Amino acid sequence: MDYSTLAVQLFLTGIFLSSLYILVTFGLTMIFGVMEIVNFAHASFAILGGYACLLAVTSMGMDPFVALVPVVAFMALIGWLTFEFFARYTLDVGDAHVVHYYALLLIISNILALIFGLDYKFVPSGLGYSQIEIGPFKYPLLKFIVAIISLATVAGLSLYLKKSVIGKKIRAVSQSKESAEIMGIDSLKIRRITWIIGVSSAGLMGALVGLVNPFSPYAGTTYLIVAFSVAILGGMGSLFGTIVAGFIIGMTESLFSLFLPSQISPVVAFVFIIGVLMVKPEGLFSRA
Amino acid sequence: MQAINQGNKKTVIVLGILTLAALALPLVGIPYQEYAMSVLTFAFIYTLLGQSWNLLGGLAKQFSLGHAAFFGLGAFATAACSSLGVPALISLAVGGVAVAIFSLPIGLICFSARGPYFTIITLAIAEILRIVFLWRPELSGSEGMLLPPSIFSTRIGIYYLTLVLTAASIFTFRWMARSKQGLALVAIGDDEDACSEIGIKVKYIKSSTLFVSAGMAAVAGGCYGLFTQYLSPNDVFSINYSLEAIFISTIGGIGSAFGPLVGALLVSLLEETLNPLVPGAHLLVLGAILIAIMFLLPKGLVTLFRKSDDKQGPRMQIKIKRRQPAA
Repeated sequence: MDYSTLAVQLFLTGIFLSSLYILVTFGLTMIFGVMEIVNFAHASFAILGGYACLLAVTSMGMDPFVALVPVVAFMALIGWLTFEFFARYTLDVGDAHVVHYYALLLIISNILALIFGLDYKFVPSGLGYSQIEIGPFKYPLLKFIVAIISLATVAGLSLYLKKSVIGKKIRAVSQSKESAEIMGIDSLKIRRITWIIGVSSAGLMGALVGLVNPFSPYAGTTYLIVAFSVAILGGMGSLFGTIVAGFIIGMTESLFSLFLPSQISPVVAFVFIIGVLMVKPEGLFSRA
Repeated sequence: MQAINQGNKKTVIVLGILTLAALALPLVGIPYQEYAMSVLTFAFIYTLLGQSWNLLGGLAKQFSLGHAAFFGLGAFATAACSSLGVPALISLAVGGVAVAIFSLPIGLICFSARGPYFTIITLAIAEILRIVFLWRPELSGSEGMLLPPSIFSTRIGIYYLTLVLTAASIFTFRWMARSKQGLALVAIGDDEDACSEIGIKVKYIKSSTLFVSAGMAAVAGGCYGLFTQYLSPNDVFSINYSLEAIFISTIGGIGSAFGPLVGALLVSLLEETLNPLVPGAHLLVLGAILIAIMFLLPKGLVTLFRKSDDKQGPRMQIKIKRRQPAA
């Protein structure tokens, strides 16, 4: 394999990884910005999305990419339910909310374990190992499509947040809840919407990952830490920071995959976290 | 123990009876004796782990999600020592001290972060250790490590060992909570910046508490190793132990010396009754109980055992000695 092919491979893999990391962290950082809550259960929502997609494809025979739509709708419903009956009451708890969200992580992971068992499953995509050709280079088609979907979703969400009325309200509450309320914004409603968007995007990411990697009910931990790395590096609450940090971490991990065996690659993200938290805990771009 | 301060004779008597019962368990021939001893041994190991977390999380509100790191390191340190032929008890002690010393640089890393960031960084460290131990065969790799048998691989031996250690941990916690250090920890939990302003050596206090906490967790891990005689990184460094430590202390009584014991007993009870029926169901129930506790009994189940004027717990127990005024 000559160097240019290798470089392109690494670059495309970096984009692929980054796109997934940005997608999952988007929700996490939004939730933190608007609700001041570190959602430790975020990755379990992702895994939940993965299982939802699995069900849609295996029991209902849907095409996996078509199934993404009902999966997102389902995750939105889950988001609404978890907000109304849980998240809403944790808003005034302060630092202790970490324990509440561990409990939620536990509940979700174990409901999934009870229903689906502990063995690793993945969502068949029907694409096998087919490759897409970009000029003289080849890349697995599946990863390519997943990356496109992730990036498109992130782009869409960013646009929504920038241009729409609700998007602006969300950013307003993220900057200062009190000021937003004085201006007449219903912060509870905005928090609900943010939470639902966060949970749904996590679920979408999980479904996409399920197409590429096998997963199990407890597999969320690694993604959780990567999501935290990206969120912290970019600055919790900053969406632009998430995008930049996502690319940094994704590309770095792809690069290091040359030297390190695949089980070790999460360590890259972990080392980032530790480094950032020690040197500049607010991250690159502090609260939007 | 608060009860003793209050002179509540009934609680002291009940505690005394329970302790005697626990001591006598292996000696009387009741049915299911061996099973009960195993269950209690695990409960005691979890209590040690939970108590170690309680020192930082209960007193100073530093919620660590990485105590499995110290648990696992202690387990492997003890295993390594006893494989070299060192007697079990000494291996345990060496493991505890070694991990405690190792916690000093770790503390330097972790304590540069506050609040939820501290939690995340501790989680990252535990995960890094898990992955590194899994990866390097010298450190055990995916095959794990075996321990040679010792007096503590017998049910009776490990039972008494963990029972004694649990009692020791309760005394240690109580002593620490009532000392000046404990007071400082509570203050740090309330407002860390204010503490450094008034001259409390925040870094030193956090590090020294972590030293004890890590040592305790390491001893818990060592006992686990001595008992099960087989260690695997995916097991001992898993986030499950970090989470257990948190649940046990939070459900039982955060910031209370007996909290982790109560919590561990409840968790063991749940696990033994529910697991045979539906594997994993106990974790689900645990999550639900945890949420219920957080909303209804934030200081944990021990509040049920306290007299109504003492719901605050340790913070109110620090007595101020008054000098007798000159006549």
